[in-house]
Amino acid sequence: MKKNKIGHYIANIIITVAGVLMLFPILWMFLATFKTNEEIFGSLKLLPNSFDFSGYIEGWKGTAGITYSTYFINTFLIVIPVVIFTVASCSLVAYGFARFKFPGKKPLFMLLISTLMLPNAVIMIPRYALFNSFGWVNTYMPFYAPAVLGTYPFFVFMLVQFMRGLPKELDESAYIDGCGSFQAFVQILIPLMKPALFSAGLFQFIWTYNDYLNPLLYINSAKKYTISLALKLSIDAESVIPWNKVMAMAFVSNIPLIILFFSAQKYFVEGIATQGLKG
Amino acid sequence: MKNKISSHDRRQLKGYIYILPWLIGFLVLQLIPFIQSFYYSFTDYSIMSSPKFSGLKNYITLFTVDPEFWNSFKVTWIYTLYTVPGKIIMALIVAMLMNRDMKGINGLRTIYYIPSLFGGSVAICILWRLMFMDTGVINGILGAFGLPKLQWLGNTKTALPTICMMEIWQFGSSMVMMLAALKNVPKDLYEAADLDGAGAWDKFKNVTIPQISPIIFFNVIMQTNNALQAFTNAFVITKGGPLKSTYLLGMKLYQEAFSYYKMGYASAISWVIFATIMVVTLLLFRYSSGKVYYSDAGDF
Amino acid sequence: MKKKIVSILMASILATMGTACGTGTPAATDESQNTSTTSQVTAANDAATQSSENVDQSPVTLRFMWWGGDERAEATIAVINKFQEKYPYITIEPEYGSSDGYQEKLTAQLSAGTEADIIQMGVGWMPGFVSSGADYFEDFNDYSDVIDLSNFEAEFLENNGYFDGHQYGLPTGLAGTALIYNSDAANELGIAEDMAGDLDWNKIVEIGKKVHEADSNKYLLTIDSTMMTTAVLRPYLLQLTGNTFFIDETCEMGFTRDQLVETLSYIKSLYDNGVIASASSTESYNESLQTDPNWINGSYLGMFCYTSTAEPAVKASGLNYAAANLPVMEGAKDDGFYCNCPQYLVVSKKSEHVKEAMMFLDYFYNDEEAAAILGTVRSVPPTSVGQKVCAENGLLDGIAKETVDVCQKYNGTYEMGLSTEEEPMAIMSDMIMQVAYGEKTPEKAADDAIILFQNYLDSKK
Repeated sequence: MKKNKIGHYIANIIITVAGVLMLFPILWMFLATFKTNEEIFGSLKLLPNSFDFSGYIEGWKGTAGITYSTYFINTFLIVIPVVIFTVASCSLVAYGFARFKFPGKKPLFMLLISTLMLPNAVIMIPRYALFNSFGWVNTYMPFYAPAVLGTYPFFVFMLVQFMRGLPKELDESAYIDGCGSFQAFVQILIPLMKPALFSAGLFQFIWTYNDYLNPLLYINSAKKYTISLALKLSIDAESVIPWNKVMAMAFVSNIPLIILFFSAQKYFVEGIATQGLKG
Repeated sequence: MKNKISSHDRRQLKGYIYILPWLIGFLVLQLIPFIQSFYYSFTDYSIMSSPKFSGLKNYITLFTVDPEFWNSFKVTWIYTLYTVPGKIIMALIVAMLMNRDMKGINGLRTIYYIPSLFGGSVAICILWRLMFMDTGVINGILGAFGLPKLQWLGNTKTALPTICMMEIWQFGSSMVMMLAALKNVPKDLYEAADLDGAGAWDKFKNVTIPQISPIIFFNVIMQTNNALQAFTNAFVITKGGPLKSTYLLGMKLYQEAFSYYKMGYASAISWVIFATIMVVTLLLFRYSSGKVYYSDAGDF
Repeated sequence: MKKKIVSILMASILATMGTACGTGTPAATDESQNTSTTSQVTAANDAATQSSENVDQSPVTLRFMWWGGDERAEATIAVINKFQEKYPYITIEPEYGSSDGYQEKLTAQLSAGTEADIIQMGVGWMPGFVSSGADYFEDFNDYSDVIDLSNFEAEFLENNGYFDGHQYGLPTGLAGTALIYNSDAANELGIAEDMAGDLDWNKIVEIGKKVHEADSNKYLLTIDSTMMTTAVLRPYLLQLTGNTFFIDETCEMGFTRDQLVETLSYIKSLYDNGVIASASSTESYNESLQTDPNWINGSYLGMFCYTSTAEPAVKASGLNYAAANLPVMEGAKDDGFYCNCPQYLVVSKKSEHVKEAMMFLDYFYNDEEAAAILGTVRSVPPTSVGQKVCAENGLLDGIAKETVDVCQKYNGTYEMGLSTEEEPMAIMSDMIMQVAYGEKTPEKAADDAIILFQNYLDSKK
């Protein structure tokens, strides 16, 4: 038992040290927000010569009167509905695939996964033309529509895998007790799926938040720009790039994500009382 | 009894209702672009001009004439074989270590996830370049151990592994999924194993791995899928160089499409990638059947 | 009163002329014609009375898309605002962004017909768009009544943005290849005189040797594979052969195998003699040489770059730099270098308000106030007005102006066309890198590349 405890301590020390190492690049980036360009590229020192917050102040002002407040609001206007719709629709679709045996299920599931396999570059332009014919260019519809319709095979597949890890007897027995299939889904499976649903929501939040290509393509007006677009506005080969500003804003834009992850983890890492239900 | 089965079957048909949103989404949002790109792969489409049918010409050029294709194909596979196992093993190890009670574990988990948050940003790509340059931190550490300095990103042998390291560093998403799966492993299984006098390795092998195998399997499929299409990090850091040693297939296809305006040719490359991933996925599905443990006893 | 009658008369005449090439409904065209001419006439006479004469204008919204950094965005938006004050019925929606993904977005937009009315366009992309056969852009010469092109040098316009008899693009500035060097270090090393005089290719090797022998950590030049094609390979061949890299009319290569081998051997000698640091140490900074720590700390004395990237490069290291003359070989058949532009502005054919777009561009290029705001955010202005205003405001100092001045001394043959499309450019830089890395001999690299060049040319026939 004692040996076990020492092992435990050693493991704790290792993961802490490794964690700090993992974080080094991020720390560097944070400290770079206080540096001049010459310091960033010309010196190996980690600490800045002085703590100059102008990168944050100037950076937040954005470009041409549009500040980061606008970019943040726009981003949340896209991200929050997308996350809610995605989790709702993908879990329904996943339920359909995981718990029902209907003719053509396997080919359909393969079809679903296969839509992830074609590189985006060649679908981009036909899809742009299609969405344009729906009148969706320069609106947020290209983000909402796929979320509402559950066309995120990654999440459907992921939720199917989690659902298949839950004993079928659970919802089966609920069904026999007179619940409808939807009721069984909401009352029995959803609570058990909480960690998976939260991770799906978290990933969708982060990926939509960081997505550059789709906002670039579908959003034209500067007032509708998202953070990911704003972060690249200063980057241009033909001008002196204010890296402290760029890094400062990159750092600030990640703070909501860090907070989200930190505070949401109790949901997706909490143990679920499935003991005794299996086998 | 018979009656019950048919009502059971009728109930099964309800599955269509649940997958209906996706089906509509697929037909309305995805199908047309898919068919178009498939058709383009048999044409000389250049985006600006209307496509002219050219039969198998694109595919023949790709396999027999284009000297870059096989190089890119090889580079992409090396990238995949490094990053997929690298990421999954890292994710699994860290998830196991994080799946415990310890002071500040929440903070630690966040720390391990942060690289995945920042991953795509230009700042990180720049930093990566600075860290691996000849006077950078990495060479400094090597020097401290008396090892020779390397031109990490300028050398054809080390550029690709350097890019792979950056990708593996971002194992956070897989880690989160593994963590969620680990939390779902019933504790009584471990207790039962303890009673049998099983050691840590036995428990890991006989309880943990089977229990989280659906999620490992999912990660293998998805990471392979992503790796075979990847190009962003390599594009920002090395632009495919030096001497095409990091010229991933995804990057080649992107340049053919948007720099050279050879959309037809790019579509052909895409469908080759598609076919490759499809074959790998089907093989993985076949190989996994019986090895991945599902509570529904493989009844899918 | 008299003035008003005259202006209405003129307007109606011009309006009749204008409808020949006008777009949209006749009524709308009429109205906008009216407006533009009225304001033109009044602007010429008395700007103050203008607003009172602007009656009954239906609002017009234009979109203007460009890429570039913060300064460019701020200045361009300021000009848009000034223009909107002058013409309150016109609104211009700015759509600006990073160069990252710009080309992809533009391509998607052009293929779907959703592009902005006014578009900033990469010089290298234009031949592809124009040769596609699709009719995307307006010819500025069709609107010479709205936009005054007389402030541009006629020859410059003909070389920049002029395709198949149409002025599809207007150059945004003057640009070209630049060779900059650290003047303090040059003094110290006793090479200042050499660098300030006329240079030829061999002299560069000599000076480079001297620098590297004096201090083995120092190199005369830094250059990446992209610049190696534009600043060394193509100019060298142009001077050697008198032909452009590819001869567009015949779809042939403008050089022989031996000439290509000679050029590649020259490039190899740059590395072998320590004129340039090893390719493996510079290649990871491809297209961002100014972020190379060795550049910032002054280990590299000089750089081949564009006139438009000279300033960021100089500011990155903070040392003192001067513009050197560009190398010309003895008995050159062509200057090899020339002055062109960093990007074009084009007007989309799909635009419903071409007239207003042209009015804006007229203001953008020819108005002194606009020129003062824009300064050199798109390089040294191409118009005499712009240059005059920038000179008066002291904006034409420094390395940007110096390098442009040098560049303007060379009258090499323009290579816009097959030679500058991205596909052969990639083959060129691959070929150079194979030699630079010692992967292939110049002979082998030339032979292999010639096959690829031929494939490319065959596909263009």
